Amino acid sequence: MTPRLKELKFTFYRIKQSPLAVLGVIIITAFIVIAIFAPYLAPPNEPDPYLLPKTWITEPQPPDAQYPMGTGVYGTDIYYGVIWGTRISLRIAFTVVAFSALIGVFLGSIAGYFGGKIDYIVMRLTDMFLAIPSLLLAMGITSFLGRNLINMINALIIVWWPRYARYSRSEVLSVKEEGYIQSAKAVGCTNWQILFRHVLPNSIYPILIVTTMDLGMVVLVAAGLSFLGLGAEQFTAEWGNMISMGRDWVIWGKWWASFFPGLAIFLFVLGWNLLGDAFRDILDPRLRRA
Amino acid sequence: MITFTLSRTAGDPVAIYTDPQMSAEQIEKIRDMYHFNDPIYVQYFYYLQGIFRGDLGYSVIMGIPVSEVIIRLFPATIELAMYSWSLAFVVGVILGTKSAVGKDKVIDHSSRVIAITGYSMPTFWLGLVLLFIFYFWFGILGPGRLDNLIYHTHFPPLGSFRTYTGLYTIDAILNLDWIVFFDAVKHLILPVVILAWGNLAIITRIMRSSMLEVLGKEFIKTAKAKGLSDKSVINEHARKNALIPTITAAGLSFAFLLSGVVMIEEIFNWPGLGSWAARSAISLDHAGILGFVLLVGAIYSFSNLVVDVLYVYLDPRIRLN
Amino acid sequence: MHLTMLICIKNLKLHFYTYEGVVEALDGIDLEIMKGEILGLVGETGCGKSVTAQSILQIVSVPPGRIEDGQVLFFTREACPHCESAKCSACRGTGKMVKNGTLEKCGECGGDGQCPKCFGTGKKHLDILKLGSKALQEIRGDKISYISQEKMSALNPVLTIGRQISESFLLHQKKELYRYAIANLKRLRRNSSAKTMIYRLHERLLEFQLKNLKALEKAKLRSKFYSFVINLFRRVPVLGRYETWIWREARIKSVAMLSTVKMPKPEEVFDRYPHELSGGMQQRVLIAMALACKPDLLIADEPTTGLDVTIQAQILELMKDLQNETNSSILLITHDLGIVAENCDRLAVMYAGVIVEKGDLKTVFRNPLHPYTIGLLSTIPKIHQKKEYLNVIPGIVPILINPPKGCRFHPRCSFAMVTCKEKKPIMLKQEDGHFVACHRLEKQPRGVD
Repeated sequence: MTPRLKELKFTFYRIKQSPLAVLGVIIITAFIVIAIFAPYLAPPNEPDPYLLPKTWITEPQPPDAQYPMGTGVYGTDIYYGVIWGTRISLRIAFTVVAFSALIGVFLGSIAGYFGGKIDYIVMRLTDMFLAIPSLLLAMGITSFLGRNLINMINALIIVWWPRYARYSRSEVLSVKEEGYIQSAKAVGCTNWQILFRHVLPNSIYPILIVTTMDLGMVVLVAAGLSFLGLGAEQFTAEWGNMISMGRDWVIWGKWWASFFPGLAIFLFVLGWNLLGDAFRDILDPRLRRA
Repeated sequence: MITFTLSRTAGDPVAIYTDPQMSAEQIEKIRDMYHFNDPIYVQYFYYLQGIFRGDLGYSVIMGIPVSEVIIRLFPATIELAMYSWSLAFVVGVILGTKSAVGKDKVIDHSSRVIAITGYSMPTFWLGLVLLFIFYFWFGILGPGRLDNLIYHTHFPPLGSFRTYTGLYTIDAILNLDWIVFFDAVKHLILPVVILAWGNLAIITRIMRSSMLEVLGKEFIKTAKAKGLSDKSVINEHARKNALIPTITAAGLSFAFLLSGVVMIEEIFNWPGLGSWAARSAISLDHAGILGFVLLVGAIYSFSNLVVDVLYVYLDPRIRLN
Repeated sequence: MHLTMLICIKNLKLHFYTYEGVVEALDGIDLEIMKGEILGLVGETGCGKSVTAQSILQIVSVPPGRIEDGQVLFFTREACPHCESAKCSACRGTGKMVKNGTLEKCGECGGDGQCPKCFGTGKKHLDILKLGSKALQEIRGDKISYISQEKMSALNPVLTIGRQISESFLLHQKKELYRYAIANLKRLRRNSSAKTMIYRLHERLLEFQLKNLKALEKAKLRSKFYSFVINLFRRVPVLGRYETWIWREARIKSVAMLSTVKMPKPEEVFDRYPHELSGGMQQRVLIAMALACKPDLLIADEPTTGLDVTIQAQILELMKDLQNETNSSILLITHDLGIVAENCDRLAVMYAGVIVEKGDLKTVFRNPLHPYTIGLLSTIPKIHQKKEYLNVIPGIVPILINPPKGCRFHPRCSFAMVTCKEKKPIMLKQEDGHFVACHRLEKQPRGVD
């Protein structure tokens, strides 16, 4: 068996071994399934399925037969919101992470590999962005761009890419010194070939771990932004948004309007974090073997 | 630099400072005063100058200059941040060590679960839920910093409470006013715990992995070979070594804390910088937002500096360089 | 079994449980270390020498490792409770008993007249593998000490050298330290009039602690609250500083120890950190730490690997000098036969987790009997020989997850027979003081031991 295959098998074995990792996988699969089957679980609301259905009842109603999770302000169906919110959250998560990872890893590896002026510019840039915690920076940016789901995603991408740049830069720096890079150069590979064929595959592992967890964390920050009023528009089926809508009624005892969406956020983020954390233990060469 | 760029993107900056009813002349005057007519790099220069002088602009929603807002609201936020950071750090270090020592045993798994749940939980949601449970069901630990009754009876003009630092707990001790002290603590418990829980995850995880690494090193064997008990080995030899990366991580986790502060203050109606920032963001109070972002950047850089200094103290290998 | 035996390892089996399988690291080690001798343990890298040494002190990492079987007997200075001057209590040392009217071999001692309980040494022995952690802590560092193989990382980088050496004293010689401190305090009080009250108080506290040392230890264990109070008291500015007197004593002793190991400027070195010292100096510090409490056995794991030859010679001479002074034993683990030849009294050869040959140095060198030993000795190039190729032992060291059945050396042995593949050879005495485990020599066994 080739060493890579053996290591992969070993990785799976370790995943199976860790109950937390298995739990994470289960949770995420559940969410993906819900997202795919959303139209069947909760009949879509025309014209835009992502808007919550409204009635004219202002006060939230407790859960009953028609509304499994109760209603929120203006009769919004919480259950509906949670189901369709899955789609939005997954969309946000993958979009933000994919784009910021692409930009970040690309810039970071170039900076690390070529060094010199490019490195300097990228470093200063990331320094600027990393000086401020992600949530707050996103807050700042969205407030200037306008309150909009797309704007929020863009803001998050802007906020998130520096992390990837930093990570991949340091990985590339350490991989760069390895022997096989020198051999590749000696054989005559061009710089770009080396970068893509040798350097990147070897520096990717820790980034994968971060990516997995970020899929959850992005949704957390996005929900936070929506909660504060800086993200999705009113009455969109986005979890953070729904929490903020039901917020004022909690003190009066109408807890379900905010509880269920929040629970959804929690489980979603938990799933990705469990997986990412288990990955960290599994893929880190020092902690791998017992 | 970021704040400057942002401020210039949102359209005509003069709009904040002017009133539609002012005459064209007055608007021009204001433009001149704030140098909005000059080329961009000159504006940046004045902007920096303003910052150093302490002029951060004017916060529309509060009606006072931004710098004054900061000074007024700072103690409240600091009180919150201070306590939760300390709690997170202490508990994190302890859990981290216990986790590493009893690897893969009950304590390890349970502390990881605790940590991860804290990390994954949306702070605002947890805040709401706990607020509901404790305030609605049990009727204690409500929002705000102090009970209204206590506030009005103890503070001037009715009471004789003197404010030294703005931190109610410390001031209460200095005033020997125990009622205020306990009330402040009561109101602090929930926010501090929630805020600390998220940080706990980061610190525990770093402490655990760093401790595991340290325990595999040779000098631990030497220490054991000298006849030290396991407990002493951990306390006297391993801990100091394992704290080094942990301190760095703790400094970084400060960022997480700062973001959490905004949420918590919103939920608990805590009159601090966080809720002010949230309201500024929603109402598009540019000066306020920018001022806040700047402040956060400054605080964060400062904390990183502190961490670097601590690093030198802990690790003698760095001192000579 | 001799009167002067110090350590006797019997049939020690140690396994490491890993994902890839069970590594059978040690497979029945039989080894004896006598008082006052230098025993050399040689073998290739990975044959289990360090693990054996660490098992003596029980500092092997236990989660992956586990001791499957065996005994490690350590003979203390106390007398054996079962016998009188090492003679068998059943036959009074004669070796013969009266049974049914006839004179027969004594059943207890098997005929040699020596007390079987203490193996003829006359001293009480302890099985280290069965000791609890408290007892182990008392032995480690005090009676048996260990110098680690990794010189560069064997010292804690965040603590000063002095602190680390004083630790040995503080752990094991508390009573002496207290007595010295009290004596010094008394002297100080008489000689100078300043601060007498405080000195008096400290003296009283020290005396109190000394008297109740044991009781305080027990109390500490029983009540955490009590130890918490004590710790708080220590922080009290003036009163609580009584402990510094003890540290001062420990400092004096540590500095003395440092000068014994010929460290230049010991006073200054005391306050330095490990990374400020060179390899040779760090090694000396390790030796100082190990010999602080004058142990009965010093286990030196590859003390010279990685040092230049001149320093090597100095270190070895240092160890031999100290050993001469205190009549302790040294277990010298190395893979360098030259060092063994110069310094050791007896020698044990190890291969893949088993001891294949052991005996007096000269005997083994003159007449190596095990094929592995023969091979090892023949690889040493001799200066007067003209050769084109150096001798090697063909093959490589086996991975111990699935060790070779029977004799572990048989795949590489040029004398291998059929039995070698099936049965594990046992250690038999070939001549006086010379034992070999090889099937080839079993044809003329001279006696089991």
